Amino acid sequence: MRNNWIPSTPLEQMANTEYDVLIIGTGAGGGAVTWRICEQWGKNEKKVGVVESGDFLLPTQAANIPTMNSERMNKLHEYVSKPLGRFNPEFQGAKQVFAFGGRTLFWNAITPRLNQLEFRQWPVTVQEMEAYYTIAERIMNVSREYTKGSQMTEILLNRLQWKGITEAASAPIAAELGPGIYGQEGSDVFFGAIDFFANALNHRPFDLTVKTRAVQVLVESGEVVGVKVLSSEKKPYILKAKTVVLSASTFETPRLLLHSGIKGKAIGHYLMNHSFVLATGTMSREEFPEPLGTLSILIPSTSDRHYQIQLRGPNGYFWYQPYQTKPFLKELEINFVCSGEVDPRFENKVTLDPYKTDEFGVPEVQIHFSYSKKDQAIIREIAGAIEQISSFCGISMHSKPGQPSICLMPPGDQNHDSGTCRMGKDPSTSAVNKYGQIHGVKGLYVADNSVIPSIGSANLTLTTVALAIRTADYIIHQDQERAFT
Amino acid sequence: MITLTAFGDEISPDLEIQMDTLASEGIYYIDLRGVGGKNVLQLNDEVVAEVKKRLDARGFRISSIASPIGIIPITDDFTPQLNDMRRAIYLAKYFGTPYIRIRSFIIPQGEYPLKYRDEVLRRIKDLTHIAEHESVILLLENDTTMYGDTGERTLDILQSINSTNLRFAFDPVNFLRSSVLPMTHAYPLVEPYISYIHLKDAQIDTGKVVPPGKGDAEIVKLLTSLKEKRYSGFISIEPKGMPGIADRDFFLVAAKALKTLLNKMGLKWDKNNPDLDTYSKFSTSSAIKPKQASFPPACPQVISPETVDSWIPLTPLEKMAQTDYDVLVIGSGAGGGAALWRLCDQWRNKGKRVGMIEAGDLLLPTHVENLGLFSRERALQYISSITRPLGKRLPEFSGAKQVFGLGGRTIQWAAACPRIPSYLISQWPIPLKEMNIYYKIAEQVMNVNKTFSKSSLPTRIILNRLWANGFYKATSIPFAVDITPTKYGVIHSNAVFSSILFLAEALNYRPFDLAVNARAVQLLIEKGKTAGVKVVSPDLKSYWIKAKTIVLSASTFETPRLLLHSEISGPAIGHFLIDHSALAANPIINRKLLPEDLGRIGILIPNTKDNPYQIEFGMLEKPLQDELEMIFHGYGNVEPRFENMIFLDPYERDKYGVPKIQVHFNFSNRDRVVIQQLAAGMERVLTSLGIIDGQPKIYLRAPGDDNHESGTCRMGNDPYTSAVNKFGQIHGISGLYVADNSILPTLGANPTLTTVALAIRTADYIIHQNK
Repeated sequence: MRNNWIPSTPLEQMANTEYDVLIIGTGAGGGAVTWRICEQWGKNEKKVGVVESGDFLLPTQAANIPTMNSERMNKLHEYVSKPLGRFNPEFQGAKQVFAFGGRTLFWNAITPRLNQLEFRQWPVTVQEMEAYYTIAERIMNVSREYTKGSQMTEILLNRLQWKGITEAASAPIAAELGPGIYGQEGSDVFFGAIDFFANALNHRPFDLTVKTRAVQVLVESGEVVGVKVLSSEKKPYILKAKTVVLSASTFETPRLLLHSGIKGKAIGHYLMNHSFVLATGTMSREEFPEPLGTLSILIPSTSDRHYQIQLRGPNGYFWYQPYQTKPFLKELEINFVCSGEVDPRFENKVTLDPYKTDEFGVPEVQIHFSYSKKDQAIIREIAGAIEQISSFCGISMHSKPGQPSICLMPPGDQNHDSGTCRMGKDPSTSAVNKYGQIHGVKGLYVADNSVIPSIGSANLTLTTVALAIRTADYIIHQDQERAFT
Repeated sequence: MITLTAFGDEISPDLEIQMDTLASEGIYYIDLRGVGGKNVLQLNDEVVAEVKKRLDARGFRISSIASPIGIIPITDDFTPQLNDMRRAIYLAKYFGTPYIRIRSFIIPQGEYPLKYRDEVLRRIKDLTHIAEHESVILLLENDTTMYGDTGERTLDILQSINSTNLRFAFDPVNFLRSSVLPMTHAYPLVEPYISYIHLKDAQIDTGKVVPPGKGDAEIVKLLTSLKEKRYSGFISIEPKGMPGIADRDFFLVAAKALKTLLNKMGLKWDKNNPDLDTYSKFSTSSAIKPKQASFPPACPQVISPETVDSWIPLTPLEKMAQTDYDVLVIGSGAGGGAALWRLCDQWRNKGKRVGMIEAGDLLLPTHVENLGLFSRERALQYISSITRPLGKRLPEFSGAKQVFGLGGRTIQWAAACPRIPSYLISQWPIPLKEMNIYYKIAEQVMNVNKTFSKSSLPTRIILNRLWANGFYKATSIPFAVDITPTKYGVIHSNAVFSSILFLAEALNYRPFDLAVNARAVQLLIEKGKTAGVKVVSPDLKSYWIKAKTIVLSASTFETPRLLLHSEISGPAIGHFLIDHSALAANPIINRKLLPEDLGRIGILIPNTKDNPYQIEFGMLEKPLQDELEMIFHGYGNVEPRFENMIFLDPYERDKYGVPKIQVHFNFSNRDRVVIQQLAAGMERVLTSLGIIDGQPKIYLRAPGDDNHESGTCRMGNDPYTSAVNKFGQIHGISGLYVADNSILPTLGANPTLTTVALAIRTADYIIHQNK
């Protein structure tokens, strides 16, 4: 009763359907694939199914909910997260959210593109990436308008640009800012994967089941035929499908593939995540006229600088509810959120734990991860850059006892884990081809952070969505081909 | 900090004389427009290298490349300018400045600038695109005869292109020359985009250039604003603004006048050779030096002891049973939410214990229409899934329905918020003046406004027709909808108001205890005083919650039910059930009779003494079709009568052992007359509109179907004809209040706004009693 806000289909019924496309996972990747397929296919006779292992949790991105402030949102996020890093000391910060909408329920909606230089090593061309970025940005309402008119952002941007850091700009954010339109498509500001599914439903129905755990991908003579799933009561079902899209996450997608006995030298390897450096500084309120507003500046990486720096603030008021009182503070707190590039390396990997299985009988994952010399040099460079930027902006950095002004978060803490099913031409160094299809298995695709071959230093969601839409287009194309032959 | 720079070519064509003059004034930056009478872009590499060498030798820097880009007629070929742009970028990087000055193309004399808008935007967009790619900043300067000559058109360019690589160079005299008062008319518009100032002054009537501050270009105002905004950047001395005409003496007069002004106003500027270090590093791809610091230490991991397990903090009933509440609110709909909000707002840090219990579960965290998740169709499915059709077992009140869940019916209401007309309130035990104050408070907290459909052309057409046909009180429907755009970090994700916003706002003021799935089954009264309430959870565990004051906001059905079951006697409790006689029609609008842009239509014809009914109609935006269905409702007055009542059913109980309710309800002769008047009124409205096809049938909705049922704990001075006194307190029982639709003595408009106003008033009374 409590969460029947989106139609779901009983598993018994889904087990009697043969799906044209079955999508595993409902985060950004799974959402984007479902939306694109439903939008392109419209109301035809095709069958589309979606499987989510978690439950319904929130009907929109958490900050859109009126009772949320950033503190309550963080606490709820912590409460619902599974602390994967607790059992993986080398990737201590890793956490997972199992719920309809995945991690986008709690994300901060920052959506930069990757630096074009990154694509030189990718099997996808720059032009194609640009085109799919444009599609992704449109559907996700990405703009740089969120901080418009906020003096905090305008003045610090001016200072940075005047010092020659012309690459600094207000951060692109997936948010709908217009006045709430009554009786239309809702007034939620921040985008989340749920919006993909809502939009998909406006085009055509699809079957959805939650609290359903995919435990094995079924492949017969090099072709995918379905997925074995368990209900929350551990009752097994076989869901038949001509095409399966895995969007289960950087951890869960390779876990499912490895447990299903699908061979691939690169599956699970090349795990990446940005190194994550935080810093806090302060500025006097007197530096800014009215309206102070909010601060979000993004300094992307360049050809000679391999990290991204975000300035956020003030204090906990990057976003807040209309009735919340933002106090007048003499000292404003400014947060540096910095991501450093990390090389894709074979030895950073996700493997199956030979000794431990979960309640569904699937082996738990083990994570091996370390920073290379180069990764570490970048981390040191970030620390240097923070000092330089703070002096350009007039931000004073001071550490309190037990609270260093610049510090490094444990590996895995940023939700930018990726690369474990990387895209590439060579099956010995990549898991999927340039369309996201697992090398050598017909009909089996991956569409989540795990396909990204190199992560630069930008937040990943927009890139994952762009690639997922592209994979969906390829699936639609392949399906047409099949109809002709 | 302000940095002064100057157009050296207005001093002398000779670079050495330029530098001598500037050094004598303590200025070490130059806007590079020309050397030796040649434009900067025409200098060859040898000359450029020579200039750079001479500048470096004396510690001079270039603040911008003053390019001639955009100073050609818009009708001329654009291609050569793209080559100019490449040269300008080369020079900018060579001299280490991010700034390239451009203008917005000359509009042929006598022609209307907007005719060339698209072409101007296309060209500047192309230039900006290159600038973005090359990491340089274009400074657009306003100028007379150009497209961007006024504040509005300049803003149009900056806003349409919207790039951090296109900024604005503010030139007050150029505005003046375009008959625009720079500070009065232009500055307020373009202020956010300003990154550079060109300073000269002139007289408005003669056009003669004069030293800064001596003319009409509002220079003092400009400097005052720059001081307020703590402007940091260049102010360029451009005494005449005429390239090729050098006048060293006038330059010196202008520079000294400006510096005197700056000093007088306490504006600091860097007198001596400023810190140029980082600035000159621009020519690399990033100005951030690849400097390595020490490896950062690990961040301390903060693990907070408290967790939050749902979107609103909940308190277990076990814990609530151990607390002695100052106030406990039963029910979380509009009345309960409003009372709780007011108590939390007024009490803040007063150490009072405030609690709320809700019989239903958490449903949606906001009004259904605020969620992009729901299409109209899915929203209706959802609403029907959470609505209990109570009327199924109430033959005389068959339309009745209930929603049990946090926020009650407000998570799906239509948000129409008219006030009850004063001729009806004058029969109430509350002075009209006081009611109006509480209406204002309620309207403010609920964001009630009429702007929502006001701008729509059809609304204006329809209102004109209605006024012409004698419905002179017709107006836009006031809706509780927040239509503010998201700005400055304040997110407006929850447009349509719901009681959950009351709870959210209350949480911001102070914590309160909230339990859901907590069914109040019995009130405990000791010696005429409120002592507590018995609450049962869905697994039938019962708890006693102690409270000195209880506010019942459980609904017109549930509040009297709880009172009667708790054996609280009062001759009026449960009686005087009222509801509007609700008529409706589904008129079809002929699409062809309306303009292309529909917007939103929402019209209200209020209830008056002569026409004791309200008519309300509207239309939502829909896909294109020839015929559009309108939502068309009429609400007639129903007399409050003792015999219309709810009472406990002696034969049927719910799973908590509480008797279910039964209803007696019928329309009086007077009610029937009103229904006929209403039907006639609705017909007249439909004819007046002039956009309706055919004669739509007007029908009577089932009693209770409109969610307006009220009156079963009506307010009054006489305990024989009322259940609560004028403050909402049950007659004769201290500490027991009602704050929901059931206290309304009459209807006359959609009841929610009035219930909220009264609930806030009751909360104020409780606060007063607690003092």
